[in-house]
Amino acid sequence: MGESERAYTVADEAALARVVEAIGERFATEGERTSRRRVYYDTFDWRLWRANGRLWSEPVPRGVVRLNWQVEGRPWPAMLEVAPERIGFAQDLPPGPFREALASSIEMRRLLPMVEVRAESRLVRVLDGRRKTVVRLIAEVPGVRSPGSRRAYRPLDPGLVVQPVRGYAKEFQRVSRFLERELELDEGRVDEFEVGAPLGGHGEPGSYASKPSIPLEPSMEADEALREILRALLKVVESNRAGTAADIDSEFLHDFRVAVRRTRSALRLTKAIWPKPALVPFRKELSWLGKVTGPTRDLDVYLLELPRLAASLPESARGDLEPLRRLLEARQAAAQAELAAALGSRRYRRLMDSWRRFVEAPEDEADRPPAARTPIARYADKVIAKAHRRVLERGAAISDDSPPKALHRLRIDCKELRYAMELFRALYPPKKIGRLIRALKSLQENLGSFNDYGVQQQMLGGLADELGTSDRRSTAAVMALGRLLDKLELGEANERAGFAQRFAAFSSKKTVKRFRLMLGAEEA
Amino acid sequence: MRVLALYNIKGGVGKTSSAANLAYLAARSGRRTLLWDLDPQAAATYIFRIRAKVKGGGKRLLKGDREIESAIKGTDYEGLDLLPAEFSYRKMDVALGDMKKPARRIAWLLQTLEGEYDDVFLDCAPSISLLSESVFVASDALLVPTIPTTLSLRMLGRLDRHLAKHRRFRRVEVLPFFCMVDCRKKLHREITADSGSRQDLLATTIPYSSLVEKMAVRRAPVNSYAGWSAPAQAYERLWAEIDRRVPA
Repeated sequence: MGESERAYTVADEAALARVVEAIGERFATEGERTSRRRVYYDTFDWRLWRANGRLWSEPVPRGVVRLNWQVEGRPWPAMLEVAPERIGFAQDLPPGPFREALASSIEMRRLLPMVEVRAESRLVRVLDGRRKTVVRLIAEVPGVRSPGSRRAYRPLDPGLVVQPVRGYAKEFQRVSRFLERELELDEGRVDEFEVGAPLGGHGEPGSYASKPSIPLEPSMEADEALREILRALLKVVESNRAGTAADIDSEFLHDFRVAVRRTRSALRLTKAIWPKPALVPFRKELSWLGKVTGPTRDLDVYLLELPRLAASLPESARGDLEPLRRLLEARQAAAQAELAAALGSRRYRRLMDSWRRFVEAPEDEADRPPAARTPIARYADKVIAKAHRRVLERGAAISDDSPPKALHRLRIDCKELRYAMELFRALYPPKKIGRLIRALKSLQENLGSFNDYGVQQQMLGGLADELGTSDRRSTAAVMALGRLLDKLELGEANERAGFAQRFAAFSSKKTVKRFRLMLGAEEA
Repeated sequence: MRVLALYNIKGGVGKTSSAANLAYLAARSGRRTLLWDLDPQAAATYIFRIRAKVKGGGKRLLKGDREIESAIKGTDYEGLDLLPAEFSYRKMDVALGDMKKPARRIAWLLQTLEGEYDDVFLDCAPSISLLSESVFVASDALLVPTIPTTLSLRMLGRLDRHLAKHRRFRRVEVLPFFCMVDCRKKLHREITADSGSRQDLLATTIPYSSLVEKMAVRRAPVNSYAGWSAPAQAYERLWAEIDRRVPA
């Protein structure tokens, strides 16, 4: 397509005015004042930014905004015109390829306004002998602020953008040459999004990660290292609290719960290094936190899964699930209200305050059990080895006739092992531990699906009873549910049949040997 | 890619004005738009202040010797490009006659632009020729500006019969609309009022206005400099109607 636009930065407004004047003296131009407004969007966990993308809206007449999306500096071929209140979940946008591509990037997350830009600009059009525009220049002084705030815009460096007009490459080169050789401007562009994002409530782009990587020194003492880990998990819990309480999207609660579960696992796995009575109240209270957040998460999962389940039905029956969706939504709203109340309660605040004091406290020499002084590298070997042993033993005891309960227990053990490996990941060669985590993951997927199929059958079965068959719509819904239940039962049986092979792979000589080599002497 | 041709066997019925304004409105709504000026008079090219010159001429463009892409020029409006015409286009018909599958030529050339544009407007020369047949094959719809006179309606019937004759024209939809309607003329009033005679007729009519004629003086689409005016408003309604009628 020929030339692409070039951007230059200028020291200050006065310098920019001089540049515009110089262009006017050299070329035939026509100018007009314009302004530009933009709101950049991203998800709470910066999914678009992480993929090197930018998504922004610009107001257009008629009360709508135009949504633009750029990935790796290349614009998405089509723009989307939407009412600004429809920018949120991917499924709220008008259907089409734009929405589908965006949905695969952001999935279930909601788009949040991250940066607001306002720029006063001067559009300068370079004209040819027919007074036809052959090059466009935009000289502007932009400012950024947090969207919706009333504060003044923070000014950014003024910039000049030169845009080619198709079929007029020579003129574009002539103007660029003039700017670079004669006016000696520097190519460059201020990244409005990156500069503006920290002004909002979400920190630097990329500052939030649901699985923080925690750098650990192998020689650190065990309890010191564990506190480091627990502090990072606490940060995840706290940064997701507000979004969970407000139900911005389902992922806040998910990340919140995972961080709580990891915390509890970490405490269970490392009992030996803490003074005995210190943990008792936390164990109880963290378990409460797990319980009050459970029902909402389960309902979130059903609601997220429902479209996929519906898609497995013949097209004519899909609409029949509508009463079911409404029932689930009502339940979710009720559970969410309870959850929000719990997160605003004194009990929650007290727990967080005392937990923070605990993870930030220096080690009290008097109470430290001897294991607390073990170097973390050796201690981690021991913890992982123990969890690994338990998985192997429990798994080996499962035969084709074992009840679902046995697989359920093994699933929990696998989770524990997974958490242990991920908590201490930084202590091991990335390739080795990565491969072992993948091996475990394959087993976990089997156990997880088996469990999900069971739980979903139970839940949908219960709903079928509740919907009843009082009218035609609910009868149709119950019939559709019946079909779903058949599919789920089949899926469950398939996973059960696949278990033996997955476990055999995980407990193979080769994989066990890899664990032993990574963990050294601890894995006897 | 949606292909819309502005076509009428008769000249002077508002084809070029309509092509320029509709293409401008399509681009303004965010669709990547190309206007291909196929008329050797190069009026659309002139309106957009572009030089009526295609390197190598129309014949080489049709033959595909030269990439159609490199002849495209950006207009003064974002999202709207133009493929200029030049006087040698008058000989395109002869050139087309010497080529294989002449009726598929335009469709074949437009294929290379698939994915680059959402809407392509073809501003055709008045006539029925090999070139216009190639336009019928390539287009999703023929937008036919029609002055509400008896003779114009007769020509519309003539076009219907011609299109019905060949299987390869079946795909194209004919969408006539009344253009340059002068409400001071009784005949215009009567014919536009009796629009029930044609099912495919678009509901919007474009009024006669000296503002539209001034496009050639201002060298810009009327919607860009007189958006408030009656003809500009009519073009907006017309574009909304076409956008609905012809699926993208």
